[in-house]
Amino acid sequence: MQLEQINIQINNESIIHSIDLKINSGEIFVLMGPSGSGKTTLLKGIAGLLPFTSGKQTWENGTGTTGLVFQEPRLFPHLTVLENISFGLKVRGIPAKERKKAAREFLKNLQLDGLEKRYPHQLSGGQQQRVSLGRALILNPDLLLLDEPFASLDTTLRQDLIEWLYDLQRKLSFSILWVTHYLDEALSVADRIGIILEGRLQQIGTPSKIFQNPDSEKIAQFLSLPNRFSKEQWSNWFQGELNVLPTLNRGWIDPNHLQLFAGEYNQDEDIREEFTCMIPAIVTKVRPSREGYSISVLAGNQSLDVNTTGWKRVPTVKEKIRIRVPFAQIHWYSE
Amino acid sequence: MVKRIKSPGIITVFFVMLFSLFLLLPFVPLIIWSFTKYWPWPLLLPEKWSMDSWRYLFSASGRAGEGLFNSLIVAVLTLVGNMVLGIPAARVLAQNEFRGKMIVFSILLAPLFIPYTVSIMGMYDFAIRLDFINDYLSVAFAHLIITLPYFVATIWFQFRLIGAKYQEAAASLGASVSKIFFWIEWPLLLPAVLLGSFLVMVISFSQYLPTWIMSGGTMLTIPVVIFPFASSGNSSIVSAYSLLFFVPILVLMLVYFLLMRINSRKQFINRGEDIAIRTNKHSNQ
Repeated sequence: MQLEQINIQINNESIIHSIDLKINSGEIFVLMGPSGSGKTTLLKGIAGLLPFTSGKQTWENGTGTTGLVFQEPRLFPHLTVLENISFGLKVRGIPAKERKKAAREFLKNLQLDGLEKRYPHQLSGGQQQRVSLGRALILNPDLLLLDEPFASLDTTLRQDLIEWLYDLQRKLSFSILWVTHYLDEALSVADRIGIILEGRLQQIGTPSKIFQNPDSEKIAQFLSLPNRFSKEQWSNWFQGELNVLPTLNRGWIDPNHLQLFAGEYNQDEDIREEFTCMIPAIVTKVRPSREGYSISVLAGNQSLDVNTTGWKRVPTVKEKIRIRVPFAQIHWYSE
Repeated sequence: MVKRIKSPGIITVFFVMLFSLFLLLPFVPLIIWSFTKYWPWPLLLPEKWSMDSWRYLFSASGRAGEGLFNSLIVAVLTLVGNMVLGIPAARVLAQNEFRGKMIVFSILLAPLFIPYTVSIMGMYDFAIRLDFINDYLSVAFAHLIITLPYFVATIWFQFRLIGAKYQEAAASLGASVSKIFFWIEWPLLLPAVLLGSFLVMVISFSQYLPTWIMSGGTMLTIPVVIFPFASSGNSSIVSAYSLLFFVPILVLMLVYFLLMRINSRKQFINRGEDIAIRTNKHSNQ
């Protein structure tokens, strides 16, 4: 499916601005953006629930169909699981016998065997969302639109369903446009990621490209990239000119790549052959994490986050420490 | 977790009984009055009993059957009018945003606050000018003005509860507007439609002045039959008529509860089965 120069206005307010997007066959494209950025509006537009003010939607084979799954299951409360799943087939005029047969067969894929006669209020949250997915998937859409479908579920169930849907997608090879604000969800399923801010598609790329080289500070901020500083600041810490392209004026580094020294440090004894700098700092916060500790420090007036692994002794709050920064691990981008 | 069903406390029982007495007590003097012509104060019970009022009711001059029939025809026509006008109006008011929405809503509810005699008189004048004096239809129109606010308010509330989320879900599966209404909204709307219909029929049954004005005093409905006896102070006949005319209300109420029960059985299994399924689910885990 391809979108060309799509604009959507609601009550004379422009929500989506000139969006160009191509989703390839069998691809999972994850759309990320903060609340109010126009993600849901774009999805509803593609699904035909909202009209495009201007622009063109085209399909590789001339025409195409979409299936939309909402954040909440939106199952019809007066219909059973089987009737909910076969609703789209009923709309298409498929005879009752055929559509029930198709829905029963589809229940296996959804891991909902034996629940066909239940009503939505008799299902768990995960089962409801699977019915909702099945209701859209049984119509064999060319593009499945997912609007944060697992956002209301607890973490474990969410991860299970993501894995289940990912496997199902790889098996059936349909395309997905998946809206989410969970980074882990995006990273675990996305072939490509698009970042939408204020109704504009700001950057499209593979997950690694997006995270390593965000196109702007706004995107870096949205992705909550840690330890983001200007090139001048990094130059101050490295005490000299840095070998970075002039167009790249900001850099971020993952807290796992920073090393924390609480005792004496002798630079001459550091045998690692890499360009590094040492930043003196004061510990402001220490939080335990799954891997070890997550420590916030203050270097001058700049705050940095450092992760340590293992459960050995960690510095205490207000303790003076030093941070070792390897230059090669800094990812550079333009503001 | 299975909730235990608590037996009602003494206070609850007391208030339920008090409320029941409040509703049922007025029927006691009605029943007694219908079997006597003379029941002076301070006698606890009348000294002489008589079946005259009931005999009059079922006599040719009593015209109780005619009153009942006309009331039913007018009430059904009023209900049809409410369905045709009220459901789309409630849907638009509940699910659409537009300029002047509150004004439209206020106009629809206006008969609740404004004395309807004013609008009925105007309507009657208009009907005469247009030579539109079909008794049933013109009376039903008058009743429609009075009942529409109740019907719209009931349906509007249910539409608000349903929201637009099921519409969107059905539309995303390719359903047209009519399919969305008949397959999704109507079944969910049914409890409110039943309640609204019951209200409309009961209110229509009890209208005297609008019926009298719009039919030029020619159509005999339940209240029109009773009114002359009430104004002349004939308590015995009024009581007999009142009891007779309570029967269709009672039938309507039973029909309402019966339909509600069928509807809820059809849509959702009862709580006992639900708990059994949940318990089974837990034991399987």
